[in-house]
Amino acid sequence: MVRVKNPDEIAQMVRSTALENKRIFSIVAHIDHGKTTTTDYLLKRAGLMSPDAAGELLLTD
Amino acid sequence: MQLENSSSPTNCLHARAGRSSDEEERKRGITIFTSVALLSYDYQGQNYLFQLNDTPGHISFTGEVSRALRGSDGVVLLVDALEGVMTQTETNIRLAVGEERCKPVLFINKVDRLIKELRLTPKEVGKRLEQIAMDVNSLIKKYAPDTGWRVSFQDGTIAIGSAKHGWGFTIDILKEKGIDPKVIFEKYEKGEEKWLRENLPLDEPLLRMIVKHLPSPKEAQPEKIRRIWPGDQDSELGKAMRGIDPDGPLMAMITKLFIHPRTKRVVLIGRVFSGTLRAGEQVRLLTAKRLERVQRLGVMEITDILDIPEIPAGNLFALYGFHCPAGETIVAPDMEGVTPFVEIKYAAEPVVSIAIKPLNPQELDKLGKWVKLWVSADPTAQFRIDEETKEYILSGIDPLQLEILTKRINEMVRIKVSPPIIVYREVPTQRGMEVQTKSNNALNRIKIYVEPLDPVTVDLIRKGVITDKMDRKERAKILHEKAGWDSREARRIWLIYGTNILVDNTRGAQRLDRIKSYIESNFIDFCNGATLAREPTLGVKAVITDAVVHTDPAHTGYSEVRSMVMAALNISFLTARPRLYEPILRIDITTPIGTEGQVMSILNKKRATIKQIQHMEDLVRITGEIPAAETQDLVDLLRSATQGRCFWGYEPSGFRELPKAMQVDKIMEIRKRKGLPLELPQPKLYEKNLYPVEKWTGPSFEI
Ligand SMILES: Nc1nc2c(ncn2[C@@H]2O[C@H](COP(=O)(O)OP(=O)(O)OP(=O)(O)O)[C@@H](O)[C@H]2O)c(=O)[nH]1
Ligand SMILES: Nc1nc2c(ncn2[C@@H]2O[C@H](COP(=O)(O)OP(=O)(O)OP(=O)(O)O)[C@@H](O)[C@H]2O)c(=O)[nH]1
Ligand SMILES: [Mg+2]
Repeated sequence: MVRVKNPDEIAQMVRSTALENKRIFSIVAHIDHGKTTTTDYLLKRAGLMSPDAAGELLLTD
Repeated sequence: MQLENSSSPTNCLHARAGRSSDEEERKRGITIFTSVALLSYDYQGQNYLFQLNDTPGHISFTGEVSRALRGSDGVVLLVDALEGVMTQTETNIRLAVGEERCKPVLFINKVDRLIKELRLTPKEVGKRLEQIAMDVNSLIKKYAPDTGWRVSFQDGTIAIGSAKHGWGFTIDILKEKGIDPKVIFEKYEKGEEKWLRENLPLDEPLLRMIVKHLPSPKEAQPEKIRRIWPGDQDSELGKAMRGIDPDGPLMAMITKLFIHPRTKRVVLIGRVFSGTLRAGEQVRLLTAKRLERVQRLGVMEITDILDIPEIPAGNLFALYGFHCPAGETIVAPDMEGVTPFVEIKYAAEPVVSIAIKPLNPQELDKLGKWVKLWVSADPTAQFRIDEETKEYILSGIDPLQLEILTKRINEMVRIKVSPPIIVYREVPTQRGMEVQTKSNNALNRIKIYVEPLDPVTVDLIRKGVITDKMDRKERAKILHEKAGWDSREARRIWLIYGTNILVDNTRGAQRLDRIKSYIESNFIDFCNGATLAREPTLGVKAVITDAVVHTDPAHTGYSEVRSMVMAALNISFLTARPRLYEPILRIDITTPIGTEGQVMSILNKKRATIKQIQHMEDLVRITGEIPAAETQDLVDLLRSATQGRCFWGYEPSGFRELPKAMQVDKIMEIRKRKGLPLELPQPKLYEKNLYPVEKWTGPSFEI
C-alpha cells in the first residue's frame, strides 16, 4: 500500500543506505497518453492529493 | 494486499489542491516540465521509497525527458491502448532504453476507451494489446539489442488498465484474485466502474511492477556509469560510482534547472553517483571550472525542497545556492581534472526561430540575462544576439517550445516577439576550392578550403560520440576508426561547433596559435550564418592549409583576422555547390478506414513522402516524412477531412535538400527578411581580400 510519510521519515529513507529499497524512475510516453493522470492517481492513493484533484475528477470531463 | 487512503498529516508536502505548479500547464492540459514526486510504499513487509519523474510528452519539451532519464534507473513506458505506439513513444524508448539504459516496464493505459468508445470484443481488445506489446518490444530491441530487455504479460512486466477510472492489473494479480478479464467488460456494460476501482486498484500493479521489475540504484548504476561516464571504470572513482559508495569521492550531475514559476528562484536538480553531498559545503563545477557553495540541500517534491542536509550516492537531490547549466558535473573541491559525465543527449535540434527584443531598449542586458538562464535550463533551445537589430534570435525544436519560453521571459522583461520562422541549413555538397586570402592590411594570409563533412562524422557528432570538449587523442582514434579520417588531420581538429568542424592542417605555420581564438570565433559566426542567406551551416568541414601571421601583434587584430578568414570561408563555400536544406518531420497519422484517401491526398499536396501504410482493424496508420514548412495548416486540413477523428504525432527527422526549383526563391525570401542584398552572393564580392591577385577569375555562383 502507498503510504504517506512525514518529512522526517522521508529524510531518513533518503539517507538510508538500503539501496535495494529505492527506485528512481521516469514515466515516459507520447503526448496525452496519460502520464500525469497516472502519477496523480498514485499521489492521490498515497493521500498526497485531495481526491478531487486527481484522476476521478476527470470523470466529469 | 489491502489498500487504504491514509489521512494526510499536516506538513508542507500535502496541502495541495492540484498538482501542477504551472499556470501554463493547467491552462493547456499538457505537461511542460518534468516534476518529481516522492512516494513510499510497503510491499511484502518492506518499505520502499520511489522518486518518480512525470515527464512531458510533447516533442517541444523532449529535453525535459532526456534530463529526467539521466537521473533515472528505470522507466515506466506508457502507451494509450487506442492510439498505440506513436512517434514520441519511439523517441522516448530510444532515449530511455537506448541512450540512458533505463530498464523498462509497460503500462497500457486507456483500455476503457477500447471497451466503451470502440466497443471492441474481449478478443479484439486482446489482439490490440498484444500488438502494442509487440511494437514496444521491437523498439526496445531496436534501440538496446544488447540488453535482452523485453516486456511481457506473463512476466508481469506489462500492466493494463485505465488511469482515469483508477483500475488496472497485471496477469499475475488477476490470477491471484481469481478474476476473469471478461468481468471488466461486464462491469463497463453495467456502468459499475466503481467495482473495478475498488477490486482492481491501479496502484497495485504499478507499484508491484516498479518494485519487482525496475532496478534499484544498486543494480542499475554500474551499467549506467559505463554509459554516461567515459573515465577509467577501474579507477578509484569508477569503482566508487559503480559501487554507489557514499564514502567515496563526490561525483554528482546537475540534470535539470527548476525555475520556480512564481518566485523565479533557481533550484538545481541532479543525482549523486558517489560520495555524499552536504549542505554548507563547497563543491567544484567541472565544466565551468569554479567553486561554489551549496546553501540549501534536499529532495524535490513537485515545487518544494524538502530539506535534508546530507544526500548520499544513489539519490536525486535538489540544491540551492548557485547557477549552472543543466549537464554540469559536480565534484569535491580537490578533484580538479576529473573526467566529467558525457553530455545529455537530446532528440532534436533547432528548426524554428523567433526574434525578440525588449519593448524598452534599455532592458537589452536584462533580457540577455533571462534568455541565458532559460537556455541554460533547456539546451534544446539556443540563442544569439543580432548586433545590428539588437534582437535576440531564439531557436528551438518547435513553435510551442518558443511560445512557452517567450512567455516566461516576458514575465520578467516585456518583449516584442516576431512570428516563428523556419530555420534552413546551408550545406556544401562538394569540395570547394582552396582559397588564399589576405587581411585588409595585407600583412597576414590564410589558405582555407571548405568541404562537406562525411555523414558518419555528422552522425558521431549528433550522437555525442565525439564532442568539442573530449580528449583529442581519444577523438582522433574514434574518427580514424569509425569515419576513416586521416589520423594526423583528426588530431588537428580545432573546434567542433554544431555539426561543423574546423581543422588546422597547416605544417608549421608560425604564430598561428596567436590568432587561433579569432579564427575560431569567425568560424562560429560563419556557421551561424553562412553565405547563401546567413542561415546556419550543417556538416561543414573547414580546413586551414597554410597561414602567414605577421610578427607584430599590432597587425594581427581581430578585424584583420576576420577580413581574411570570412573572405576565404565565403568564397570557398560558394565553390562547394552550397544548397539550402529544409527541416523534415517524420509524421505518423492514424485515421479511421475510409478517410485514408483524403489524408493521402492532403499529404501529397504538401510534398510529403509516404513511407508505410498499415491496416489495423478499423484504422489505417500512415507514416511518412513532410517538410516542416508545409505543416502550418496541416492540422486543420486533417481535422476537417476526417471530422476530427484522426490522430497524429510528429518529430524532427533531419534535413533534406530543398527542391531545385525552390532554392533561389527561398534564398531571396530569407535575404529580403534579413535586409541582405537581393541577389545570389558571388565570390567576386570578397575578391578584395584575395591573394596574390585581388581578382576572382573562377566561375560565378549559380543554382
Ligand atoms: N478515457 C481515458 N482517458 C484518460 C485516461 N488516462 C488519461 N486520460 C485522459 O487523457 C488526457 C491526457 O492525460 P494526461 O495525463 O494529461 O496525459 P499526459 O501523458 O500527462 O500528457 P502530456 O504530459 O501533456 O504528454 C486527459 O484528458 C485525461 O483525462 C484513461 O485511462 N482513460
Ligand atoms: N557568411 C558570413 N559572412 C559574413 C558574416 N559577417 C560578415 N561576413 C563577411 O565577412 C567579411 C568581413 O566582415 P566584417 O569585418 O564584419 O565586414 P562588414 O562589411 O562590416 O560585414 P557586414 O556588416 O556583415 O557586411 C565581409 O565580406 C562580410 O560580408 C557572417 O555572419 N556570415
Ligand atoms: Mg503530463
